[in-house]
Amino acid sequence: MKQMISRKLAAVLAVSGAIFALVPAGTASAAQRCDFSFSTGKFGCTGSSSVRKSTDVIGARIYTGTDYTGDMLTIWVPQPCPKNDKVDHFMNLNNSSWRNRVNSAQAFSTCWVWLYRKDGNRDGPFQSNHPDLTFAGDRTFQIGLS
Amino acid sequence: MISRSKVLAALAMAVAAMFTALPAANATHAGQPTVQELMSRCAGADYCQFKPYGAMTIFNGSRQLAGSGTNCTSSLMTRVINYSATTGTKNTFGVEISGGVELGEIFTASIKASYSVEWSFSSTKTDEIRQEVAPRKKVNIYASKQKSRVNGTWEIHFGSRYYGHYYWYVNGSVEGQTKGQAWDIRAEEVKAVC
Repeated sequence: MKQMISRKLAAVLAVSGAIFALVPAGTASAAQRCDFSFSTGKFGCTGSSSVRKSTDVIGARIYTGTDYTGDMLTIWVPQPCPKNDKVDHFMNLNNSSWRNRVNSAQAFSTCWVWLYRKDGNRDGPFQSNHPDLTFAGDRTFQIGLS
Repeated sequence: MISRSKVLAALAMAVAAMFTALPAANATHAGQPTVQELMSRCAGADYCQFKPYGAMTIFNGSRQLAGSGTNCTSSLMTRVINYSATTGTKNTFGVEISGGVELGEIFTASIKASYSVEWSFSSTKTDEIRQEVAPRKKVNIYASKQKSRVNGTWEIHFGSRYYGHYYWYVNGSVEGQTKGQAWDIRAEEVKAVC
């Protein structure tokens, strides 16, 4: 029975792993502050409380401008990144203002930020504050958090 | 016997509760720490980092009277007027963030890494000016400092729950100056009280 419970617990925990999400297309005009939660799947630009679960933590913030300027997207995750040698969360930037314009980023809550290119290559991991990611951000179509 | 589903639900809730967070912790009602209480524990926490957002705003600080010279005679005179002005750093976090405390060191390191500039918690301008003062007039020397404002989030991780949560975020701003920002010195003549 103990084994069954641990299997089920592992399944419960695995729910937060490798979540794939889409940021809505065409969102965010100039200098907006938007939020996306992997827990709820919601996206919004009117404050985090309408998007995230109360238990969410910040995984990362990405910006369309260098030096943390332009549109800011705060990415909420269910729990700090578990450091399990896996990319736990993927987010497709779709046609949002961040697609090919991730020019600065900040990692939060033990998460590392990966910038994925359409050709399958990726740049990262980026930890803490990165004010200038223009060398990679102009080709980023997907964000990974590990 | 406790059912498996109850055990699983309890475990899942415990896992979720381990990693909770409240952004912009400005609550002051019972059961929530004040921003000041939270920030005062930041330096001693497992993790305490400042993460700026938005551009660093440059603006002109308020002008302050830095010195004056009076001519109560009936002829034009040249006065040597000594003046001195000082500006500091203030913040919305309710705690001291300055060069002598750990929060100040964390803050300056973050600003240097983020904007490639050195934060200066205070700046003093002391000098003298030779000024012609008309009869029965007074010359006031005013100084204003070009200043900088940074908005950001303090991210704090506790090793054990603090008010029920391990992770806290505090949003706010810091106003001060970076090294090399200029002083603007102006002289204004007014009627003297002799």
